[in-house]
Amino acid sequence: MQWQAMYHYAGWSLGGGRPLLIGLLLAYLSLTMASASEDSRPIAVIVSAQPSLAPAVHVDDLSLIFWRKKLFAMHGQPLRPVNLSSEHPLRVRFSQQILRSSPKSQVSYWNGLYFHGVQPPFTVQSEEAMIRYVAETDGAIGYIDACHVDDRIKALFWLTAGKLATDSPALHCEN
Amino acid sequence: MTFVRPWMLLSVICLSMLCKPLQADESADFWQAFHLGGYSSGDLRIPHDETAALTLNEISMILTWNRGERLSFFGELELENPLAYEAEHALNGKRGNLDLERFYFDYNLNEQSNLRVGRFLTPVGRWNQLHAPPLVWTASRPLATRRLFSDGLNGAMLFGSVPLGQVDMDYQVYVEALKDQHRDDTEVGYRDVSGARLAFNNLLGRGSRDAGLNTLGLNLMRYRKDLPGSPTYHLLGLDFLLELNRWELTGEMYARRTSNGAEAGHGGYIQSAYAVGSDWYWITRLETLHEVDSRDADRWIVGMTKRVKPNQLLKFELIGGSEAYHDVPRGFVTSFAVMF
Repeated sequence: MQWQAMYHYAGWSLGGGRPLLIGLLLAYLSLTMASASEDSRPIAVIVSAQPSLAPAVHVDDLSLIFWRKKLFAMHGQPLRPVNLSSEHPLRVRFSQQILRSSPKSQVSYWNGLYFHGVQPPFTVQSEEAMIRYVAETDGAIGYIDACHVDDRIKALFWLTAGKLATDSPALHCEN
Repeated sequence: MTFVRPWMLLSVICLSMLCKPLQADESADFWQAFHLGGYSSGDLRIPHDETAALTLNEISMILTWNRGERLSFFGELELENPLAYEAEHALNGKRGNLDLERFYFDYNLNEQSNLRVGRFLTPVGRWNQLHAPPLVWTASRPLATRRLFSDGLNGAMLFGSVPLGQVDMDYQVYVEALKDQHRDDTEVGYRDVSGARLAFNNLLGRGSRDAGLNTLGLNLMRYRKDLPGSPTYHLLGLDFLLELNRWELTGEMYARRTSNGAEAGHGGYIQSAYAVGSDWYWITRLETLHEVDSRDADRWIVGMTKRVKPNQLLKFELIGGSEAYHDVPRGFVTSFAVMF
C-alpha cells in the first residue's frame, strides 16, 4: 500500500482513473501548445542598438549577408553575421526560410567558401550570447526570438511563418 | 620549382606599402589579420594496365590577410606530388613541384561589387573553382573541366552578388593581363583570356526541412591557345547544382567554337551523390570529352565516399571508359583528403 499512498501525496488518485487521464491529457496539451507557440513565434533580425555599430541592411540582402556573399555595408562597414549552433531550432527555422536550406546541407558550401578565404558566420550557443555579441560588435547582425528583444539591440526585420516583414508583428510572449 | 613572376613582385611591393603607414599600436592588429590554413590529400591507385602507386598528391598552404577592411589578401602555395611510392621507383619525390596557385588582392568597391587583382582560379563552372580534394566527391577530375579552358589566370576580375527577388545572382567578369609564365607539362597553354560567369541561386525557392542548394551557372569565355597561329576560341558553358532530399546532382557542359564558326570541341559531365547513411555517399559520374585536335574520351566513375568529419573525405572509386587519361588511369582509386 505504500506506493498507493505515495501517489495520493502526489495528488493523483489511482481509484479515480478518469481525473488522472484528463489531467495527463491537459498537461500534454499545454506542453505541446507551448512548444508549438514557441516554434511559430516570430524571429527578430537584430543589430546593435548603438547607431555607430549597427549596419544599414536592406531586407533583400539578408540571405546574401548570411551566405557571406555580401561582406560590406555602406561606406565599407564590414558585415558580421552571427549564427546560433546548427541544431538550435531558431537556426534551423532561419536557415530554411532565409537560406532555403538546412544547416546540415550547408557543410560543402562553407568548406568551399573557406577554400576561397572567407570564414562562415561566427557561431554562438545561446540567444543571450547572440544579444551580447551583436550589441557590442561593429557590423554584427543576428537573430533571436522576437520576444527576447531588449534595449541592447534593435530589431530590423521580423520573420514570421514564411514571410520576412519590416514592420513588427503582434507578439504574444506570455509563454 | 621556379615560380617568381612579375606580378608577384608587384604584389610584394603592395604588401610592403600596406605595412608602411601602420602606427605601433596598429602593428598587432596587422599581424593578427593573417590566417594560415590549407589542405592535403593522398591516394592509392591500382590501374588496370600499370603498376600501383601510393601518392601524396599535394600539401597546399593558404594564407589570408583580412582586417575587416575593404582590402584583403589571399595566397595559396602548393607543393604538388611531394612523395610517391611505386614498385619500380620505390619512395621518391621526383615529380615534386612548387606552384603558386593563387595570389591576389580583393578590394571592395561598393555594396555590390569587388575588384580582384592577381593570380586566381578562372571562374568557369563549379569544379574549377572548388577543385581541392576535400571539396569534391572523387579523386578524379572531369576531363572537360581540365582540357577545355584555362584553370587559372593572371589578371583582374570584377565580382559580386545582387538579389533578384528570392533569387541571388553572382557575377564574375574577368580579363587576363599577363600570360602564364610557368606551366606543368600536361597543361594546355592559353592567352588573351576574358569572360564572364553568371550564377543564379535558389531558383526553386524551396524552404522545406529537407531543402538544399540549387544553382544554375552560365559561362562565356574567349581565348587563344598559346600556340603560333592559334585562332580565337569562344566557349559557352552551363553548369548546375541541385540538392534534393538525399540527392546532390551536379553537371557542367561546354561547347567551343573558333571565331570563324568552326566547331572546336565539347564536353561535360553529370554526377550524382546519394546519401546512403552514416555520412556515406554513393557516387556516380558520366563524362565525355571531344577535342578536334586530340582523342575523344568517355569515362564513367562509380564509388563510395565517406565524410569522416566536415573537413575530411575518404573516397573509393572505380574508373572505366574508353580512354585512360594522365590524371587518374582506369582502375581503382582510394584517397583521403583533409582541409585544415
